[in-house]
Amino acid sequence: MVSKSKAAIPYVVLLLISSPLLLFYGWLFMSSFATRTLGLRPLGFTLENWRFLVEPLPRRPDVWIMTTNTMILTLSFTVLLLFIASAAGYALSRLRFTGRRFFLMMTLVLHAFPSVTLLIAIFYVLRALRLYDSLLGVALVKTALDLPLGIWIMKGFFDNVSWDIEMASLIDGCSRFQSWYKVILPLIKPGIAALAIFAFLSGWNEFLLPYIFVPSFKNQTLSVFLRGLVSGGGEFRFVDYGIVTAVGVFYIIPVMLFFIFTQRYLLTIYAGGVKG
Amino acid sequence: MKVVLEKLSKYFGKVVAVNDLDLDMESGEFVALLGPSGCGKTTTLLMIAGIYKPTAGYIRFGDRVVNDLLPKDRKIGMVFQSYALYPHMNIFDNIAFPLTLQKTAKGEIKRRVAQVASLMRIEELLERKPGQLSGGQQQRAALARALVKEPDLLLLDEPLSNLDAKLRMAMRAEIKRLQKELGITTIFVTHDQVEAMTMADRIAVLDAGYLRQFSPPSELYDHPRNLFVAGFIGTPPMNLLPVHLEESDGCLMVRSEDWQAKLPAETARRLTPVIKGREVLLGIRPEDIAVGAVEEGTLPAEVYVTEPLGREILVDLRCGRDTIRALVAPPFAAPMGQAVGLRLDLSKAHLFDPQTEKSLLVS
Repeated sequence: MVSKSKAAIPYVVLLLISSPLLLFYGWLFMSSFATRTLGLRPLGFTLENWRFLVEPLPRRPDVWIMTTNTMILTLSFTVLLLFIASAAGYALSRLRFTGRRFFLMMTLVLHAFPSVTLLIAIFYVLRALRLYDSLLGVALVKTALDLPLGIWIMKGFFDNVSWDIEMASLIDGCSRFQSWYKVILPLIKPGIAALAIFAFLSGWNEFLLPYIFVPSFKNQTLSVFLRGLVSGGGEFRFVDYGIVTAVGVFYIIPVMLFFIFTQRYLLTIYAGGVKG
Repeated sequence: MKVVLEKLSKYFGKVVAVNDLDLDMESGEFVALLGPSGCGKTTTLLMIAGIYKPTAGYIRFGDRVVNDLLPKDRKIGMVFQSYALYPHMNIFDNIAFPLTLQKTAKGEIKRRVAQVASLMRIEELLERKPGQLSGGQQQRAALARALVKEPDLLLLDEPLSNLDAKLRMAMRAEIKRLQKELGITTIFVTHDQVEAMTMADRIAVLDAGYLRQFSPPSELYDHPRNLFVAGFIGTPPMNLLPVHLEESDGCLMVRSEDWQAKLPAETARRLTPVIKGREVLLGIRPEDIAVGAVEEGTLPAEVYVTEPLGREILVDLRCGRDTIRALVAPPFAAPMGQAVGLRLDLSKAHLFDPQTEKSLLVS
C-alpha cells in the first residue's frame, strides 16, 4: 500500500503543475455552452453560442464554407509539402550533384527568415501569377516557406535508410524511381507520417498568410474568422466571448480527430517492427 | 558466363580505390576477392554489379562490354553483408520482388519462389517479416532472392561475416555445394582467408587497389608470388628471415650470423639467376620448422612463449633479433628461456627480394 501511494506522488505533482493548462481548455469548453461567465465561473446553459453552425453570423460568411476553405488550404499544402520534401530530401540524401552543399546551406539560411519580412514581395509575385486572393496561392506560399524544414526532416529519414537496401533494389530490377517509390518510401513511413502531422497542424493553424493574401469573404479561413471575432472586426462593438469560445472549440475539433487518427496509425507503424 | 575485368580502375576524387585490375574469370568458376579492409575488393564487386561506374577500363560479361549497363539489366544476383532484405515485405514478397518487377505471371512467381525456397529450406518462413528471422535464416532468404531470377552471375559481399562461427562453417559448405550444383559463375568478397581458401576455385588477393596474385588456393599457399601474399595467407603467418645467399662447392647456401644451411638442389634450380651474393628474405611457414635440441647445423634459438592450440602448439622463439613462430605437435614442454635448435625444412622455403618484394622462385 505504501509503495502504491508513493508511486502516485509524481502524478499528483504533475497534475498540480499542469492544472493551469487544463483550466484553459476546461474553461474554453464550458464557456461555449454558457450564457455568461463570471470570472472563470460559467453561468447558465445555452446552445445559443453554437447558432453559427446553422445560420451565418451577421456580415460573416457561412462557417461551413470557411471550414471547407481551411480544409482545402491545409490539404493542398500538406500534399504539396510531402511530395516535394520527400523528393528533394531523397535527392539531397542520395545523389551527388553540383551545388548540393550550397543548396543544403541555403535551405537552412532561408528557414531563418521570418515570413513577415517577405510579405510585400510575395504580394507582387502572387499578383503577377494571378494567384492573389486564391487559396491555391496561399498554399503555394505556405509550402515554399515551410519546405526548408520539411526537406531537412525528410533528408534525415532518407539518410537512415541503408545503402545496401537501395543497391539491392537496383540489382533486383528497380529503376531509380521505382527504388524510391517501392522500397525506400515505405521504409520511411514514420517520417512521412511525422511530417504529415506537422504539416496538417501548421496548415490548419495558419493565420498570417490567408489574412493578408485572401481578403475576400468567399475564400476566408477559420483562423481569420476567429481573429475577426476577437478583434471585433470594426463592426462588433463588444466581443461576444460565448461565440468566440464556441468557434474556438469548433476550430480544434478537426485537429483532435486528425490527431487521434494519426496516433493510431503511428503505433501500427512501429508495431510492424523494423529491425536494423 | 565468363567475366573479364580489363585495366579496371576506380578513383574517388584523388583516392585510388582500384588500380589497373586485370582479372579473367571462367564460366562457372567460384572466385574470391580477398584482402584487408580498404583494399578495393568491395569497390570492385560494386563495379561489376553496376552500382559504381569504373573510372577507366572495361568490364566484360561474355563478349559484351557492360560498363554502361544499368544494374537491373545485368542479370546478376547479389547478397549483401547486411542481407538487405526489405523490412516492410514478408519473405515471400522479398524473394518474389525481382520477378514482380519483371512482370512475371502470378502463377509462375509462386512456382519459382516455392522452388528456390525449398532449395534454401525456408518454405515455412515465407509469411514472416525479415525482422522475425534469425541471421542464418535471413541469409538464406537473401540467397533465395538473389537466385530466384536465375542470374548469370552471383555476387556475394562478405556473405558469412554476420554469422556466428558454427553457422559460418555450415553455410560455407552449403554455399560451395550450391554453387557447384547450380554452376553459376560466382564472385565473393571476403577479408577472411579461411573462407576464401575453403570455398573458392581461385582467389584474387588485393592490396591497396592492386592485384597481388590470382591463383587457386593451394598455389597461393605453396607459391606466393610476393611478400604481401606470403604474409597475408596462412595463420600464423609465414616467418621471414633476412639471410645472405652465397655459393660454395657448387651448392647454394643461406647464411645468417650464427647459422648456415644448404639450399636443396630442387629449390636452387627454381631460383631466378644472378642473385648469388645478395641479401634476401627467407620465408618459412611455422609448420615447416622442427624444434629440437641444440645440435650441429641447427638454427640456435630461445623459447619465448608457448601457445597451445589444441591439435598443435604454437611456439614463439627468439633468434637473435628475429622472432620465429613454429607449430609443433604436442607434447612440447620447454620452459621459457630454454635454448633450442631449429631445423628448417628448406625444400619448402621461399625466397623474396627485399627491394621488389617479389618471389625469387619460379613456380
